[in-house]
Amino acid sequence: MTATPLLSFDLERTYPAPPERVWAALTVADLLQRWVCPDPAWSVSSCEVDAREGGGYRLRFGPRPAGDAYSETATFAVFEPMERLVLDVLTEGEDTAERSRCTVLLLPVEGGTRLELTVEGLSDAQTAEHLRVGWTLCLEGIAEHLGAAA
Amino acid sequence: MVHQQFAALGDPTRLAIVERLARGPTSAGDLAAPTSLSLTAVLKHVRVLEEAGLVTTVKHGRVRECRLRDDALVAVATWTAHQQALWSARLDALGTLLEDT
Repeated sequence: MTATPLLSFDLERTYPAPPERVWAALTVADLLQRWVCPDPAWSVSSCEVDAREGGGYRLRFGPRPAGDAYSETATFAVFEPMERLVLDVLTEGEDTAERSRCTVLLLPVEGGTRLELTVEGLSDAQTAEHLRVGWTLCLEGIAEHLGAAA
Repeated sequence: MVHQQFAALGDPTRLAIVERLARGPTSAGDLAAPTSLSLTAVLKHVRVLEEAGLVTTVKHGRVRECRLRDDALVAVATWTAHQQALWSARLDALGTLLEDT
């Protein structure tokens, strides 16, 4: 076991558009806000992007009629135009704060672009590796325990 | 809750405790024995894990037994499922945008 599926996942899509257009959709505010909120129960109330390494985006969702709202703030830890974007994401609501790291790879393919996304949950960047190793050990321990109990 | 669990596990000593408890319940004293930590220090770490919903403890006479909660991994798995659904929908919406423009 090299990584636990509990704390991370991968997604992949191929789009009929060149990497330049996919990159723009990720890093230009007017484009980003058009796809980043697919949930019809919510809408984007503000979207700002600082398109450079060390920059990031700030999205605000809501408030809805009930008054609930949340925000998503990302820092671009890696910013390699048309190729790679690494985001440290903080999602904050009324009584929640969750961090994750998203890695986006863009690969030119015939007729378009393949996008590969990896999302990992973490408490902060320094502990991510501890968590990955720790959960691997933990899950192996549980598997052993279950094996021993069976 | 999931953030609290991640934070609780972001410490090597507490990870080691969880890893040990994944192999079965044990006393706080036995958790402390293989380390250079005092029983008091171990109990502090156990308390953090207890507050994060990862571990339960029961006192039997003078011994405090610690065990991993059966549902300790559920919040983490739920968080991942929600994130996966969100990003999957986002990437589909991105595809729609790229087709339209």
